[in-house]
Amino acid sequence: MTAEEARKIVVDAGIRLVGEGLVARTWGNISQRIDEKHIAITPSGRPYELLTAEDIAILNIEDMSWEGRYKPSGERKLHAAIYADDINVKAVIHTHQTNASVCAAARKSIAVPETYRSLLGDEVLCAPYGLPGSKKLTKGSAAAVKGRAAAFMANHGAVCIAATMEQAFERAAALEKACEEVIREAFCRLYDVREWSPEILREYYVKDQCV
Amino acid sequence: MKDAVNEIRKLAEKGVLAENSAAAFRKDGVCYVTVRNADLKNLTETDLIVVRDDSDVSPDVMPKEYFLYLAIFEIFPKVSAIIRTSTESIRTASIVNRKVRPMLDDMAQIVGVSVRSVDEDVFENAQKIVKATSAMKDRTALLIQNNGAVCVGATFDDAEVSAVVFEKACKTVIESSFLGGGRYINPIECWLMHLVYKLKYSKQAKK
Repeated sequence: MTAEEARKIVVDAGIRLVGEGLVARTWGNISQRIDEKHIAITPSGRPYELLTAEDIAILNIEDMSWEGRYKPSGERKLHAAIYADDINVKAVIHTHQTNASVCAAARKSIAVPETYRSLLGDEVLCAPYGLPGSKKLTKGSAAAVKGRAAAFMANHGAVCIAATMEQAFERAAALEKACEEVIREAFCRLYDVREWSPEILREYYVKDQCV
Repeated sequence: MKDAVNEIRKLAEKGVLAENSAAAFRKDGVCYVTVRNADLKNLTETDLIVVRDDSDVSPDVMPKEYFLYLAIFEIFPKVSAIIRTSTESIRTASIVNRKVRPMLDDMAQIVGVSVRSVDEDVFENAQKIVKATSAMKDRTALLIQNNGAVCVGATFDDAEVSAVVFEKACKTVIESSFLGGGRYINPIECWLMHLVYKLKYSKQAKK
């Protein structure tokens, strides 16, 4: 793949990331492998809707040098570590999607519901907590996602990896639905109820908190 | 002013603004507040109260948020947009009426180290308005018992971001409790993340 092709994939993916509600504003980040050593990655702090191919940075994952108009994402070390770990990973997206964030805040690994196993595998692990951009977060997240489709980043969000950008999006969408199902099941089990609606949830939660 | 009116309409369309709530903004040193029971989705410039020192505003047109909003503008010079939001999880948190601490780092960065909650009579009580403004120090949101949250920013876009991030934060606190409970982020780290974000954001805004 050429750098230009990879840059275009990243620009299009950025617009899709916001459109599908997986991130807001400038959060999250996306990258696409170009070759063994290089990836195209979103810049730091730029709104996805305004990105052009020229704004996408090219990062050398071995020495972390980069080219481009803007500094690459603050999570570039995480992306580099994931690509360095597995040559078959061609696309990485880091999201702040809602239901996955709930699981990430609970710092729970989840058993993936049957419906989503073909996309996500049997289990999604949760990486240990670390400050954004820190070595701890980078190492822990890269280890949690290695050989898998996705991982939670404690108190932060999720990361999905794939052989194509399209597949990375499918995995992010599946992760969101799988997490929703896990949360619903946990709610129903906890309160011994069979139904779920925002009203029922509120009623039980408020009752529980106000005792 | 047209731009601000359009932004309020958009926020109402998206459901970020609570029904029967009011929005306010400051432009060129003048504050504007939407009138009581304004149709926010179809807002026009005639639905705005222009607040001047010599204004003689009839209490009949003042929304319940009027004095709270003016106090916020008075105390926080960088705030130029205020909304009240009552999306699902924020509403639930406001019924519980307790401080919400960050379980997600984006809340720590954007909203602050916590969001405090005040009683619903804040709208009618001058002393409570003073307490409410002090509860908002270094924060972009404030829970109001049974009334959702007031979110602020330098622009309506910033206030919306605060509302969206806080909704996700509340949802996380609520729903992670079904999974055995979420883990709060250390308050010192929250403060540090908030500080770094503010510095980074103000630098970007200057550019």
